[in-house]
Amino acid sequence: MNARKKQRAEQRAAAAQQQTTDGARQPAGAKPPARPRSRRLRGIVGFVISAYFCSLFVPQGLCSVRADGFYDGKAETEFALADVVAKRVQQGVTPGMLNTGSEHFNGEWALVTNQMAVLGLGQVILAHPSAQERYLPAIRAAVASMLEPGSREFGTKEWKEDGFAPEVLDGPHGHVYLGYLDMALSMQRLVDPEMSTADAELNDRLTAALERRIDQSPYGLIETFPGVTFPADVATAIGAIALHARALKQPRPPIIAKWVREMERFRDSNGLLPQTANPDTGKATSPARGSGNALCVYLIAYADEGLANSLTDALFAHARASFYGFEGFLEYPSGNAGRADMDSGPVIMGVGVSATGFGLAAYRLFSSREQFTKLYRTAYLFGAPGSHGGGWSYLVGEGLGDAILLAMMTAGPEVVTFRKGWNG
Amino acid sequence: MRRAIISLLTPLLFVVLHELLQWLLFTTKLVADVVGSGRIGYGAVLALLVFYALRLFCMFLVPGWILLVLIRLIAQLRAKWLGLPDENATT
Repeated sequence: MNARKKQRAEQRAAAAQQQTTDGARQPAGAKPPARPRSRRLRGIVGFVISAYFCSLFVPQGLCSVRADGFYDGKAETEFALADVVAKRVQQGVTPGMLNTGSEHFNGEWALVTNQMAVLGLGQVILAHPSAQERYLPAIRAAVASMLEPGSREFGTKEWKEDGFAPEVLDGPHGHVYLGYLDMALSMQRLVDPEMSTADAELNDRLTAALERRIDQSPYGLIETFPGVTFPADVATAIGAIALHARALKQPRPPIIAKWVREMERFRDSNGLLPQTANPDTGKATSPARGSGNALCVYLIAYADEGLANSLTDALFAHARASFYGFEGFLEYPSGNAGRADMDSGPVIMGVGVSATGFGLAAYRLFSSREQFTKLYRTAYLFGAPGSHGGGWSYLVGEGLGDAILLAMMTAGPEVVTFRKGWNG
Repeated sequence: MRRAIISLLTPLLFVVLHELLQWLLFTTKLVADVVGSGRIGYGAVLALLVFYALRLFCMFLVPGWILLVLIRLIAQLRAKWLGLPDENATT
């Protein structure tokens, strides 16, 4: 054995000597000898093996930064993102500042940005009451922006009437986009002891109007715009009704249980809520989508933990896509097909940006740390967050994205499902 | 040895480039404009595509590349230490 080793060492030394001699014979400036093909192949194979091995755990680790902080509801983690969102809404987010190419979508995006900011900041206050003074000014500013007539102009144009007009509030038209505004008002009512009387009265009137309309509808579905009904929009009205009752320390309104029964009937064969519906027949007019259902989970969780939890199970079973420790939600769950649009955001290999972002709340509320982290990694990989000026912001999430992610990632079960209250 | 250090710095250069581009995109708010706009400029789309290509490359391939370089570096140091001829001298 030793003799063989010695022989090999001698061979190597001879080869090295030969190499040195060859080098010395080369004229100055000559190209080094071509790399042997076998060595190049060995290098490529080595790179492939090494890259595969590292990709099994390194990207997962890199993309899990702050995942535990959000899952555990750590103050410093939540404050870093909340500070960025608060600063932005305090400066005012109005439709005129957005540039989607459509006045209608500018209005919708501004409304949802402000609503998600209020909900997210409200959740942070509920989880960390010491942050009340820190974030209340931003909540008040966001609600003030939402109350500007221009913020609901997109709905006013569609209906050809102002949803706030007294005769309209008492009327039969759905105007359920106002649920987004009402939910923000209800959250402010819950966390802001100095909310103005005028805003509190508006919150009462809007909540009463939405409750009456849902109660009077044959299938619990009311219109967002004439001829257009999105269950996710109705879910925001239900969330607003639940939060309003919680703010006033009232028992859970009976309309919630009634609506939940209607939605149980409305669910498709996968257990998901269709994206749009006919309010008169109670039938679906378009198939279920990941973004709509993931948003519904978050909004419904404020009102009924059971339905929200079971929708999460359905999403998990029929809309989950998994890759190397990363997870996402399909925009079109199994059996459905369609294209990307304003609601879905970009769709990459079937995985929707909105569905995955909204899905973070579903996993934060009803799933394990491991599942949440897998989804979080995808948001991290494509959201490209970073620390800026002490805050934590998502590169592709400026405005709407940051506000949505704050609301979704701070949606702790104790805060949203109110376990110590109605369900506890 | 110098070559080995250069081999180690090359993948790290991509990481630095990625960080630099991310900082630049944050500062200029170029991507925010892309995401919030229906009228997307080709320059912004190109910047976004380059950024994501670089990000995926840095996340999934650069760690493996660094590991391979480190393995080679260790092999070279070991060979030098034992007085063996350097098999990776030309790599």
